[in-house]
Amino acid sequence: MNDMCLKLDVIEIKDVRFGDSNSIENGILTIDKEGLIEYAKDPLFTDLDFEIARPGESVRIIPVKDVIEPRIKEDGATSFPGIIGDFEGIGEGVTKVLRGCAVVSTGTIVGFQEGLIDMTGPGADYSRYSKLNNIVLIANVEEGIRPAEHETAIREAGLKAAHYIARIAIGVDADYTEEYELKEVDPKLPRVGILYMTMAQGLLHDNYVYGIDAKRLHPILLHPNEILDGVMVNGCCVVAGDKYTTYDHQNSASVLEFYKRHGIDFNFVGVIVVPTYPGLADKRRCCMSAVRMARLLNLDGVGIPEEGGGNPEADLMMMCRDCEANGIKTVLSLGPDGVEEPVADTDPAADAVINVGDCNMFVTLPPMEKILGDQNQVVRMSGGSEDSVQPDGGVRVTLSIIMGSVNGQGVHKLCSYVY
Amino acid sequence: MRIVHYINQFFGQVGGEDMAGHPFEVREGVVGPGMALRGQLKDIGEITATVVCGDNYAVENPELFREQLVKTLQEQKADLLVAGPAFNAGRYGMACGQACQVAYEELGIEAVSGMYEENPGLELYRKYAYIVPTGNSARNMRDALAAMKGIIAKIAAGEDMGTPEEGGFFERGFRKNFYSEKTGAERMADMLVTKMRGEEYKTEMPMPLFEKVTPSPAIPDTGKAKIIVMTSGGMVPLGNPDHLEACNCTKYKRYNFDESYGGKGVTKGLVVHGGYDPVYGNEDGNRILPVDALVELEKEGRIGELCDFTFVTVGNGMGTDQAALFGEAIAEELKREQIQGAILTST
Repeated sequence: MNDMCLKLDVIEIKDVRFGDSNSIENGILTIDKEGLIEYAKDPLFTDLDFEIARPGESVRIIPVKDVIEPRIKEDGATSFPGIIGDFEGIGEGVTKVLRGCAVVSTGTIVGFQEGLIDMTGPGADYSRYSKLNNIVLIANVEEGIRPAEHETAIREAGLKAAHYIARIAIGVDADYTEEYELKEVDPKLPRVGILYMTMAQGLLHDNYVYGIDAKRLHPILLHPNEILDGVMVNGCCVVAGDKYTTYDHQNSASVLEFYKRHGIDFNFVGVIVVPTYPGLADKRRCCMSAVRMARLLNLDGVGIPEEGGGNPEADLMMMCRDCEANGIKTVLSLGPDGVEEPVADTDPAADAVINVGDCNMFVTLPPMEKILGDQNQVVRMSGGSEDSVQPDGGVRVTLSIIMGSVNGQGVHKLCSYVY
Repeated sequence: MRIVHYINQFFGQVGGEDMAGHPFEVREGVVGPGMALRGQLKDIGEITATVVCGDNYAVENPELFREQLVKTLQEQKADLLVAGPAFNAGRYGMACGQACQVAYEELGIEAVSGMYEENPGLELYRKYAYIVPTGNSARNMRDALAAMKGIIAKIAAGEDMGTPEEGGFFERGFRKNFYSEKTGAERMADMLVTKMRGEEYKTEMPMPLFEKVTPSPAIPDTGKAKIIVMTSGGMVPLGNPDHLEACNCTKYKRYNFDESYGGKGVTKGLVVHGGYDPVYGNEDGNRILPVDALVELEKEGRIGELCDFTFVTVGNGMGTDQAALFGEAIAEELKREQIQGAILTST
């Protein structure tokens, strides 16, 4: 059998500018803005524009729907297989990566659970996207458009914009190359995997795997390289602090960490993507099957990061209980919600839990010179309230509203304790 | 740092149980245990005044007590309130707790106290102060004051108090974020390796044991029963007049169908729950709060009476401890209204 080896040709982007044509020179990405607008436009949009938000600038992006890293297969055609591009060669071969930049989508609010990104100030400490050169897609729609249609249009426009920008990388030399391959390791090492929970609840809580709506899926086994190679796409209006953006899949903290340990601490065998449904029968179907897959793979241990919070804890506990009952060691990873009872479901088997921080913590974010999007939406968003807007134009919000602040995959160093 | 010390009639040398009605009295400087504390606090702060108050007076006149203490703390420009220690004296513990609550809630002033683990004041007021564990009687005064001094010194220095174990105080019931040395992903991999090796590891989030709720016995004849329907789905009156939050909602509200939803069964409202697409509930509120179907059942005589009001909150992101508090309060109102059955819809 041939091993799957994915080579990420990384081009470091130090700054982004708009210009008459597309180029990357000395780390400076120049984008033909008119061409980008033309490529990403959608008939639902009343207007579409792009702006640049750099680290350290006094800019707030709100309400944010998704963050996407421009990546493309060497063929120049595939960025998100099943949505933009084909399925051949996914998870192997060469993928061009524009690191240090991202497409961030904003504009008229779709649902309550969108987030904000501050490019400077205290809010910037809680989001990895604050450290990126963001190409911000601002699209507004007519009133009366249904949120589901609106979400589809803006999701696809974001993906298209990322694809358009990634195409600029074709033919540009990489600054460095990263190789991802599950090389054969000492057979005595324990076998581990990730039960990769993904929202599939409908009503704007959806993710896409190879372009398929996750709420039409049964658990599936993926090579970790597939996760890194654009297979998972976010379409999810879940609390901004703990949902996964498309960027979070492309740069999956759990996958990358388990890769580092592969061959040293354990044998990283694979990733089981588990859709998180709202109904009990579907939860049982998926969770039990996911654990059967883990047993089929002879796993000794699994990490189970949670996407979202509350309802998915039922799935989390089901899988934990079932794994432990079948001799598979588990570590769960999630943010607490509350003090005495920080989870919506519990089980004595859940004795190893990583705490990625409390999203209910309040922060006051000072006013920014420039708002991309619409700050007034903060009153409707999860993590904001009617009292959020401060007299000076700042906002008092909880960490829930900051994009990726308490990501369950463990992006950040945040943790919490009870005193 | 300016400190006000709160003690009771006994430690204020006014008298024993017979003087428990002694009114709120402010004395300059230190009194009783404050003398020993003053020695320990030399370089840290000054006890500028001592409140001596009878335990019964404090417990029986909470409003007056609050006003008097707020005034005293303001006049003294206090940075900190020290109460007790109360050891295992129940009413003294309650009074110390009350004092801590006033300082913390009304003025945002930190408070420090000492109590025996079974003092009833601890359970009620632990949230409002750093309360150190003490022995059960005044014989343990020296150790108690030393422990309280340790906490006071940390507050004065602006030091992080750490966990209750590290800091030597009773858990207050707050959660605090901090930065670990490693990312969550690194910690997850570390813990998994440790666990698979069979070595010791420490969970970062001990799992609670949920209280099992025993369902009430079935209603013998629903045709005679008064039934209420309520929801955590955030179906509020148009305009969201009480500003219920989309996530981590801090309130529940009682709404009358006629006054707030355009009539019983019309259910014209607004979804403010942040966890699902509101389109369908906004189109027809009965999809969240199914009053229309219950009105039919009422007409058919299958339920005796459908209550003409409802309770609404937003379940999205709500901690179960908060939800339990709401539940208890709502249940009290249901009992008062003599409602026999409740239908709860979630989303």
